[in-house]
Amino acid sequence: MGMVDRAVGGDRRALARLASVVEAGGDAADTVYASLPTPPVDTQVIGITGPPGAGKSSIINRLVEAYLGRGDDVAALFIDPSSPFTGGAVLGDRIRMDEWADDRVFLRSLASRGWESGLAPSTAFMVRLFAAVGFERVIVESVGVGQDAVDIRELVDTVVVVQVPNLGDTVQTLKAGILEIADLYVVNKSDLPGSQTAVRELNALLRLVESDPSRYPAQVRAVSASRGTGIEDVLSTLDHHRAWLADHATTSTSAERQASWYLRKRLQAEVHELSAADGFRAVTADLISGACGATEATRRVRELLVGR
Amino acid sequence: MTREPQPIRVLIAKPGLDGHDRGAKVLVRALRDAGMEVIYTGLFQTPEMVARAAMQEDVQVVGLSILSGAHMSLFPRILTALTDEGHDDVLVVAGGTIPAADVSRVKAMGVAEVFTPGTPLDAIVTYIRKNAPVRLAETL
Repeated sequence: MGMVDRAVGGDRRALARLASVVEAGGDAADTVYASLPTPPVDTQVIGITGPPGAGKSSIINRLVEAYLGRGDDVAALFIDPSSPFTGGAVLGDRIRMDEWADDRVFLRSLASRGWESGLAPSTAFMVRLFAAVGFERVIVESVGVGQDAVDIRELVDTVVVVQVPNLGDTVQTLKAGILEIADLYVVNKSDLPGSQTAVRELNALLRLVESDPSRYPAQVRAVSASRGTGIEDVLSTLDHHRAWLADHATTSTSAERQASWYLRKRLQAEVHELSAADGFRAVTADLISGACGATEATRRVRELLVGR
Repeated sequence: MTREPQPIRVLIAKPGLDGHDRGAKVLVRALRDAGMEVIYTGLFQTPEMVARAAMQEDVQVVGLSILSGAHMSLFPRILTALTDEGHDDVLVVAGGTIPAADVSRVKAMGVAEVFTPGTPLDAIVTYIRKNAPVRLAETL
């Protein structure tokens, strides 16, 4: 029996190996991708993003506990940054996990491997793999990010932005970027002073403008992942968003968004690799010396890329 | 486009009742700087947690850091748990305060190498690079 069949049949070891094949990319990954069955259930893909140390992993630990408690299975992908110098990475999100000796839980750590926006190159395919083997919930935790890492919304159905108290004044909440993308804002560390202020400011931000009926009316919830308070409320909001999505057909499917994201990022990565080549350096030198202008330089780089 | 070789994936675990993780953290950092992807699971891991994490993360190497003296009872349980998870094609190494008299017994269990205090970090990196099992392309 092939590895895909074994993984679909519930063999977790086969699933772990397939995840490695998918992560490595190349022809073998394409073969796996092509042979994945249609997901047997309507998987909800939940993205969790926010600054480093906000408690994203600890919240996921509590969500795993809550999903298991009601009999749902759940996979989580934890993305941490790769070193721009050595390519190495410390993947430390499992530290926050309790012992889940249950085959309905599968946790996997991914290094960002040089891709920006807090995600790993394989993220979209990993999500597809875990959905195909039947996980009803797939949680994606981004690298700890700041203000402008908004790509996660392209890969998931439900975006959760984790915030903590005392990150700044109300002007911070007015800024464009990550605070625009959430379906659910979770203010963690609600046991600390300032959390009610953070909740109030986020709610005020959401009410500043008239809500767009084509978008889910974003919610704000306060939790303490360390104490386990507020998690049920988060869970019911995630369910509410899932039901809302089912009732509101969007113009693009998540598969389309994922594929588009992958192709754009892949081309960006190839341009990045190209930037180490001699031809690219020659264009850079001409741009600096004024031998060619920015538009001409861009055209030459495009030709180099096509010629690869 | 030629594919870069995949980074070596290593799990560093602190099994049992042992709160001293400075050595483990130094090693995690050294392996990261050597270009490896290092999964650190933190303190107080049961043998089953170590094995399950190794399987789910599909690591090629499991490094066990232990300073509690419980290696003779914990290591066999971890090795058995790895087999139970089907994840036995993995290089298991250990480090920490393992008495010289126990080193050969630990190796006889199936731990490939033991790095006692004072081992240069370079020696560990070199050993892992040389001995980490290469994942051959399997029938899909």
